Amino acid sequence: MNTQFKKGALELCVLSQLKNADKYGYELTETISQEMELATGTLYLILKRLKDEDYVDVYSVESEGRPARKYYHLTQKGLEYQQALCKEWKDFTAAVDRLIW
Amino acid sequence: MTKAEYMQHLKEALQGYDRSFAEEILESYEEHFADGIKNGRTEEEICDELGKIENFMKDIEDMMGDKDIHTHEVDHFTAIEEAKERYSGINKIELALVSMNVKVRPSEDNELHVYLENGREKSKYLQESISGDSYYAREIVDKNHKKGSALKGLGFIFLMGISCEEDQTLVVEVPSRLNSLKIKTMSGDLKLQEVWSKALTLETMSGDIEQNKIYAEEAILKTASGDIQLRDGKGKDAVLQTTSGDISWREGNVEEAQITTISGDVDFMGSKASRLKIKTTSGEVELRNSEIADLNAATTSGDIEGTFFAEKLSVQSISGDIDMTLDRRGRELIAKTKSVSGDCDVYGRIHYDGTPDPTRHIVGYFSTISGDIEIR
Repeated sequence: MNTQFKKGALELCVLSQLKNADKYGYELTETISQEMELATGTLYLILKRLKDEDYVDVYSVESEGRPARKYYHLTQKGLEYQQALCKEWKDFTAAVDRLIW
Repeated sequence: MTKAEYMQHLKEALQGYDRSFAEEILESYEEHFADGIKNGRTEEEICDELGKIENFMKDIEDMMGDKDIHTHEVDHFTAIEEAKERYSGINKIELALVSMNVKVRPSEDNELHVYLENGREKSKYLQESISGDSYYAREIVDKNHKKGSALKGLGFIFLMGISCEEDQTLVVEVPSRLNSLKIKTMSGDLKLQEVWSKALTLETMSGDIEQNKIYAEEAILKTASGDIQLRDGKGKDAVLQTTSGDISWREGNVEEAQITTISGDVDFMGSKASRLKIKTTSGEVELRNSEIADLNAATTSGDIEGTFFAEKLSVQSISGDIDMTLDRRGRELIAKTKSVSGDCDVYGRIHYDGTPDPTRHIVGYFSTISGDIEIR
């Protein structure tokens, strides 16, 4: 798949998944990989990217009997970016839909 | 693959990257493994889901290509502005590649030449630099260099189709004597023909290594799943390592060699070694028509077999069989054997009280737990 396309689509999926609740890595990658076939490792790169751009925040939650878990939280900036991407995506797929009929 | 193996590979693959970046990735993966196992997954399933490491490395370049995540090993080199085909006075070469194949061969004018086999302009694919007598090149993977909105390139998906570029082959023509040659690649194949280098290091993850007529005083050859094939390789010290790839060494001559694989087979034919140490977990070991002064071969479940000459041998297997025909050259075999439940059939002297005389005796130690031993 084209890299830029894949990157954009996966960013949109990850950001959208974080809209309603903060999630930890495994939980998030599980949800996405159930819907699409991909190497889950790629999603950690997407998360790292989104974090570096301040679209998501990361915080650790300690718990007994296992190592601390990192939770990802959508920032205000991330929410705006998600909305912009989402609109681009819908415009694009709508255009494709019109063209393929 | 186990978690430990996967993480080890990943760690090695991330070596060229900024440390905090690498640590963050490794930490996320550790956590992912812990959560996956808690959810009843096996280590192997989790490794599969995370994906192949070489693909991940490509993803890094694709996804993070516009960010500065590499360690700055290039700093002490002077970046070459103009892509040249020829470089003078070089005797140290280092290549850090991802998917490119490499062919190394002697150059006609004894200078270094680097170019792409298909004749394309290399500066798009290769970042080159020079410092004194050293040449360094790194493969550039992200050719898009697009920034801004990630979806802008969307329209191109149909043009690109499944964007799977053909693999490039880099031709490196080298001077007749090198001090060091170091090539690291993720998935590319390495082919060397008639190269002389004091130090030689070749590493690939999934690519194969093929060598013909090589001399190296110190050689380190490593692959994970790729095969290693040597023909007419000579040297003093050699270390060959694969995980699942096979190793074949023919018509070689080496003073000291260490060959290690997990599941790959080892094949040492028509070659000479003063000291040869072979270790595999499940790979088979075969030695034919070779001359080995001091052989040490050990496997867990692989068989060890062959027809060859050795002065001193120590051969061990846990559950594999040992089956050898020793070329004795008029010498007598003094054997010590140990087998717990396997059959043991040795043609030679088992009990000997005196001190063996190396000019008259071959001394062998053979042991298995459940495998059979047969020495003729």
